[in-house]
Amino acid sequence: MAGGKQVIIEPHRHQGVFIARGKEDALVTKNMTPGETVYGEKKISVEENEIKIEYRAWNPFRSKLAAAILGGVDHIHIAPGSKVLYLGAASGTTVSHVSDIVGPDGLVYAVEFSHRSGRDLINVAKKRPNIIPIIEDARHPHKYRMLMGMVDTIFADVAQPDQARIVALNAHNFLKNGGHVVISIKANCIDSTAEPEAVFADEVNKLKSEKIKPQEQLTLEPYERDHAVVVGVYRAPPKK
Amino acid sequence: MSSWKKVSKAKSKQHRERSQLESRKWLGPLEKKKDYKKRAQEQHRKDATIKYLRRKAENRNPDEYYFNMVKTRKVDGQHQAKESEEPEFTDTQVKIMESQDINYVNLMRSKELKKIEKLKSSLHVIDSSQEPQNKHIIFVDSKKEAKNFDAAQHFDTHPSLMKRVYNRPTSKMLAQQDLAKNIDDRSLNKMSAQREQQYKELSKRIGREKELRIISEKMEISRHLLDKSSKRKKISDGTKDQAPQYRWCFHRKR
Repeated sequence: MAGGKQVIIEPHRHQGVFIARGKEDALVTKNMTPGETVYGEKKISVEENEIKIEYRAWNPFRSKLAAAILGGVDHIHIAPGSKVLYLGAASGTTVSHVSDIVGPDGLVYAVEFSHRSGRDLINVAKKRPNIIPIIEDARHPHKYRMLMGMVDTIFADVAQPDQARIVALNAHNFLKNGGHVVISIKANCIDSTAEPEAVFADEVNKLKSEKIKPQEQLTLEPYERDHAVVVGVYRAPPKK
Repeated sequence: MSSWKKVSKAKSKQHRERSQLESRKWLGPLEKKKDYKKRAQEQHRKDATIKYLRRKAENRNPDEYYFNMVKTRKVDGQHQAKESEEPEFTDTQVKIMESQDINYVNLMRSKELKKIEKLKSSLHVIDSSQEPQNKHIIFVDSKKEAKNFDAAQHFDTHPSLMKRVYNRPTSKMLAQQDLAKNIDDRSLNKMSAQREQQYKELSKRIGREKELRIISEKMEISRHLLDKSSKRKKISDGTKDQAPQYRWCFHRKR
């Protein structure tokens, strides 16, 4: 290529995630469907040993999961080959990146209640065989139980006051023992009058009462204000 | 006889133009007849004008009526035309003009916002030199565990990488990574310069967008103030980064 290398790709701590440093300064995932973008994000192609690899920029200002990764979360529990239940999939922007990470061997069950954004989600799923779109209320897991298998991880970004209950319901139904839960909490959506710190602590306590043991909690500055991501383990095996 | 004339000219003494003497240099260049003429004509013109005006003042009729007596007024000793009573624009015209201005500002603002969004999509403020801005809590089982907590060990990375929140490679990755990835310094410098440039552009655009937002808010308020029919109360004055705030009386709409 003329003018030397344009971009350096650095593998990230979390498998399937990379960091592109060049003119850009971006978190990226390897594009599963080269040549196509989902929501007009930037594509970065790199040629290595005559093989062209395409990456897609993952905007942490729009995706809580990306913000958590750049914020230094220890584990996202989403890796190549894992099965993920994604609650609150919206238009499928973050879901597309999760599908990039889990790769062809993994599965993403994407649950979204709104028909409007569900339409976009279905369009994303058409191109990506590892996404199973479910347009249903996450409060009623029995409505989509026939579509689901057991999952390794639940990621939830539902922004509802009863978020913890929704996650717990789904965990009781579909999450394997020792599986993990990653929840993004928007303090304003749970209780707009209380201090964000108090809201996060409250949610963590709710999770504890539902057999989800918290492992870490991370706020999302500078990408989001008063947001936190909590990672927990469901029915953890006792420590030896 | 023209050849004769030429010869006599060549033999005659040359008269060169006189210049100012060195000793009188401070008086400026030496004045010549044509310079004098110019100066004298100007002086005569001025004298004539003064004479004419003096005559005019002497012949003035103190009882005469001039329209300028009512059309002008004195401001700081100077006569100025009074503003006409008739407004130049009707209220609706003013409203339309103002709304057009607001529309333009809003258009520029939305353009700016789009550009910011585009830049932000590939500039993710990844910087390891800065202190992390967020708060990370690790939950452990007992107090003893909390006391003996070693962050680098927990994250399975090198202690020097703890500040580098955006990516802390695991020890396994560090062991097998080939750091010398044949990247020459020149292209590395070029890349970082380009990145710097992009960040600079982003911060400038963010600043501009903020200014535009404030302008648009101020214009919006001033447009509302044109409507004199409803009562309002000023809550706070406008500052350089805030529009003035008013509270309007509530009117029930039927």
